[in-house]
Amino acid sequence: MSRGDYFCVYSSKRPWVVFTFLLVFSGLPVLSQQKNPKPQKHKTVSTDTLKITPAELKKIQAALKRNQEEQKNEFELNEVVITASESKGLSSSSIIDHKAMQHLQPSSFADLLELLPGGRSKDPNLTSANLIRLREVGIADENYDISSLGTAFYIDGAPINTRANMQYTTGFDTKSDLNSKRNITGKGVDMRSLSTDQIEKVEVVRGIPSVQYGNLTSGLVKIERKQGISALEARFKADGFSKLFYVGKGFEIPEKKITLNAGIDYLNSVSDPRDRFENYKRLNASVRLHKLWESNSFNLSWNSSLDYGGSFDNQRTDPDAGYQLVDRYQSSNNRMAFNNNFTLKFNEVQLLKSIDIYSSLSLQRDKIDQTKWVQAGSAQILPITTEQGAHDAPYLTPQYTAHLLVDGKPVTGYLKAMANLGFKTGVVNHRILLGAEGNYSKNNGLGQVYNPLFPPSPGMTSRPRAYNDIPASEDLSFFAEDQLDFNIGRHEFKMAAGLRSMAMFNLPVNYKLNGQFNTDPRINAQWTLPKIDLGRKQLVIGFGGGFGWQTMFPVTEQLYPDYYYKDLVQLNYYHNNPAYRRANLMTYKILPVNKDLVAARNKKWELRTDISIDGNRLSLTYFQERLTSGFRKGSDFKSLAYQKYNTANIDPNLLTGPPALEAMEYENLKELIIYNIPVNGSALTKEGIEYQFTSRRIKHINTRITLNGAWFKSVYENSLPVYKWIKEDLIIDGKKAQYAGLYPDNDGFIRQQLNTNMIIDTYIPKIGFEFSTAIQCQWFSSKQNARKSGTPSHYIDVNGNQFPYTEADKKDKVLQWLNTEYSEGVFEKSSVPMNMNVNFKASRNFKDKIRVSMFVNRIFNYAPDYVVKGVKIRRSGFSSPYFGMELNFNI
Amino acid sequence: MMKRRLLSLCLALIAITFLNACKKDKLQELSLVDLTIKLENPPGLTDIKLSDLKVTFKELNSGKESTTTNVSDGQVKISLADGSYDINLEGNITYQLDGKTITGKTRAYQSGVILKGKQQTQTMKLFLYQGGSGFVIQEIFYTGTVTPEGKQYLGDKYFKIYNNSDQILYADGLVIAQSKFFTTIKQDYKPNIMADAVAVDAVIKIPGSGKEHPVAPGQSIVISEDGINHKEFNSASIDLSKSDFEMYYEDSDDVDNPQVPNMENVYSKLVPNNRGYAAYVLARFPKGSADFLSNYKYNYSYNETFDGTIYPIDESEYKIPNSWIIDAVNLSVQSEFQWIVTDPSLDMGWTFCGKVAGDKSRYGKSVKRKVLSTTAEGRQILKDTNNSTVDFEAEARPSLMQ
Repeated sequence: MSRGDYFCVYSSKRPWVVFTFLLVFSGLPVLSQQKNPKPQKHKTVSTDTLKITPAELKKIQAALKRNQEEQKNEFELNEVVITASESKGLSSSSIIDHKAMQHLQPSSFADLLELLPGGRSKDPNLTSANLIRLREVGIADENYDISSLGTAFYIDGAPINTRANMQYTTGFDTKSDLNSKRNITGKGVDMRSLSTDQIEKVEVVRGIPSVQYGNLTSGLVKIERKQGISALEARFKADGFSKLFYVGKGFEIPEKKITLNAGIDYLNSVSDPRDRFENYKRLNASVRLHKLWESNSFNLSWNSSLDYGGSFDNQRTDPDAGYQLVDRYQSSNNRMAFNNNFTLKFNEVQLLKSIDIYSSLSLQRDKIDQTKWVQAGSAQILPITTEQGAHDAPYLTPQYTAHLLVDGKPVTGYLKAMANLGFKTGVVNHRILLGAEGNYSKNNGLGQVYNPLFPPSPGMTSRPRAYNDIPASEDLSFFAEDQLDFNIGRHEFKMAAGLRSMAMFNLPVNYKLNGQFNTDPRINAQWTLPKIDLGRKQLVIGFGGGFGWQTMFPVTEQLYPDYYYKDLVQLNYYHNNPAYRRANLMTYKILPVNKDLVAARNKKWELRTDISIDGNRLSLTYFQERLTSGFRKGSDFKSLAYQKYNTANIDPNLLTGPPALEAMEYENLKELIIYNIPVNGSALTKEGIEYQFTSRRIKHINTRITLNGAWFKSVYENSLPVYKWIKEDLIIDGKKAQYAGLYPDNDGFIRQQLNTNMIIDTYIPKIGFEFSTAIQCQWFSSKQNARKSGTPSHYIDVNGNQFPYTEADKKDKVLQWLNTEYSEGVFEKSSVPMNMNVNFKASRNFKDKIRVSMFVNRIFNYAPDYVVKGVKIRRSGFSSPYFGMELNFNI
Repeated sequence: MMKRRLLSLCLALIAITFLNACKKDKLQELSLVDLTIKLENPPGLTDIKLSDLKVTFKELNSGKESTTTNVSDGQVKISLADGSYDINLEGNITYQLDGKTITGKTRAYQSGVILKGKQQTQTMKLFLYQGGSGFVIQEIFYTGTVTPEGKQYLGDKYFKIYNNSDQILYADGLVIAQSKFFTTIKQDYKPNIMADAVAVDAVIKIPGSGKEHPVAPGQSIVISEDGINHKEFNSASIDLSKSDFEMYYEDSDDVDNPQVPNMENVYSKLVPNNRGYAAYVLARFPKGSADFLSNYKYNYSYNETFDGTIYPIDESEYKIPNSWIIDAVNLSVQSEFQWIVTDPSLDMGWTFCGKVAGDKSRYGKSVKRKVLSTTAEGRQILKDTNNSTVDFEAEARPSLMQ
């Protein structure tokens, strides 16, 4: 018996008994939250009669029951999706529900990204910041952090605003800078701080989001948390790196239409199971209230949540292994957020359908405490002044303990009001969205605090800095969107077209960005062809596409950079007698601010097609994104004057005190410096094809096959010319070379990859068993440097004058160093051939009360060795599996 | 029935496998290789006559040494067991140059020659060898010291240059340079100039017009990174305030002692590699620094392999022609050594402090040239055979450390 068939049964003893069974499945919603789906409506009923005996009737009844259960089971089976499903909405997005999350067994939100097209399982790295990179290969270069910064995270309608985050540390060299891998200043949301256990559903909008979402360039992550009554849930996960614990419950007071959800989760992880001195802890707690007032004319719903999120990093040296007993790094982030959302639905008003108000207030207390034992490598002058001018400077204390405190207290506020209007013009249904949004962020922290006499590292180019005197940054946006749908014949059309205009306020008046409105037009459209009947199956083909701009404002640190100090040595007299020593510096205090910094804008377009037949579905998306104004560190130069004292005429043996400057001869000199300023120079071009095929569950073996993956081509470039110092520490003929070159093109990186993940998952509800095998293949990845010239167009001399760089300069003793001849090999493409991982996951449910799960990533790994330019690259045997298990209670 | 048959089949298979494993290996037979070495004469010389040639073959795995004096018609013939060998030739040479007959010493050196098969022919280039009879590098203290708290201290490194002759020599214009290439990283640098020059990444020069800094026979001069009393900063360090010269770079992270003259900075900053992976050369520029800076830039390229990717790299440094070089010392560590970064005519061995990468035991140790003999008047003659392995005392106590 297949769907849509019906039965009628006669009994010889009883009056006509007609059983009519309708099993109509075609109209069922495929929403994972809906736990007990009911057939929506009965279709036409026709009757037919035949005579059967009671024995036969029993048989038939039994068969029917069986059949009904089978159908129900099959439906439920198809409901269980353990991968991300491609949204059927207007923009390309991936939907990950709690079932998929449960099967994946994640430690943090970062683990979910493996489910997106192009994603791949990665071992959790919880001791450094986890940044999101959508639709790209990725590159380890801070200048392209606009990717993660430009991906907005919304939790229950409220954004996570990281604009005022300034938890960076100054003055450490690469080895002692324990914070740099955890620093998220200007990098967006650190996904390791987001736990997954309180999440019901995640939607990752890879395409063009609705205009109601702003201040983003790359994408949007919408997180919906669990709401409504639930049993007491508990989860305990353990793997080689971490332990995780969660408990949560949903309560309901039906008569008052109130639901209350509470949850708490804790994670404790280490970077290496053998090293407990570098660890990360996370604590999240949340209380969420939902209240509904209903009347004939309106429904008002109120969602309120109070959330706490804590993130704690610790790192120190094993006290048994070395002398560095005092060296210690601690970083903590504590965030309290209070969100209130109101939705007022009008039941009787014709035009105005609803009004939504979202509000959020968050208070954060971020602290980095770093202690370091500093040993002077040799004698060294210590610049301490914070004022510009000439002054005497002390020498560095040979050994001391340095303390650095980075104190940040970001406060953010968010308010969004939105009206939904609905009307019909002819055959076209319109849904109009009108709204406004405001954001406020301010850092009230003490900033970078340390004793300048005992700096975290000698030779720092910065000084202590407070954050609380940086003005608040405010933005305001307005948006309007028309979502319309209509049918032409049996063709269905849907479209959403909107505009969003946003501006920043409360900036210094000479900033270009102050009050400048940026308008983003965005449009998404979808066309569904008439359904084609193929026997009993239906073929549905749809096409879609979108085009739009997205705008992102710079963060506080980019708008208000810290002072850059340059200390030029005027006198350096390190006499053998400490009483006769004298150092004199000329200190310059430079504010590396860029008043012309504007918002970063990304232009995106995509084409999509979606084909489904009999529960099997194929989605394909081609996209192109181009952003040329991403934030990066650009360069500027200055020529600084100072006096160099000549001590040649002083006899060191006749001194009775430090040499006096007044009578000393000096020379007026200049020094050329290059320093960083924030600019709109990062260009990021993304192109690719994303695909996903999902089969229906194959009967009898209850198995679904999902194939997904992507081809990505990402080009990372600097769209601005760059000033580069001639060569670090280039001293020619006793003089430091004082030249800089202006290079028209800077480093550019072309990255490509193609991958396919095949997930075979089997779900046997009868014994509560669920297991999956994921075969993750990266067919190739390639790297290539964009062509660039090593010859500058101009050079800058010590006085800051700019001259064209000529052929003759290539032979000059000093200027020749500005020119680099790149060999062809630098621009050749290098590819890495395929490699494959097999991951295995299994879960067993005991009466829906207890669930035991385990996973092994890279249970099998295939990565053949390969030869590049005559060098054999060995990859086999370097991969070890990552595994863990968890226990869930649902009581 | 079927199962039993299968079982017996399996057993049989297992038995075959194991029995096969029990078969004795063939005794490895010592196979001899007939090696012929063709000697190439140094270029530009005529009427060359070689005498008293002695060739030493050192097998690298066993350490076994074989020698031969069987040289005729510019060819050395010997039968050796197969293996990898360092080949070292020493002897006397007589030749004509500019109408004069000169008698001197000659050498040849080749490392890591792999011998296998029945017959093998190898070519070796002879070069003229002048035993150190001028300035030589006497000591390099490049490792730095450790503070009582276990932290590294850096500013107390120094070079000691010794007058190994019997006359007063002037140090004016002497150049010390650090090699760009490391003895621990072997790359296929193109173009390869090693036979003619040494690529250097920093050059410093003793100031003076020519006769300002005399050094008596058997005396030395000290050139320190910072000529100050480092004991103020680290009680385990050295007082270098009596140095003859110090390196000073006009930057706030360096200090200038007015009582110690500064070296001239010809090119870049000389920061001695404290792991000891570089080579150092002592040279004189015949036409001065300006000529060197304008005409001896060295542009090279190579491929670096990192994490499965090959990165083509273009770089530029300077090169010092071998003919300008007076002395050279290669430094390395046993676990990381890959090659010598000078031509073997300058130095065919290497010396060390520490045995593995980043060996903490290296701190506070230096490399010191051994004393060959002491003259009647008490002047020490230092050993200089252009082979740092034998000429230097490795992991020595720095001479300036009290």
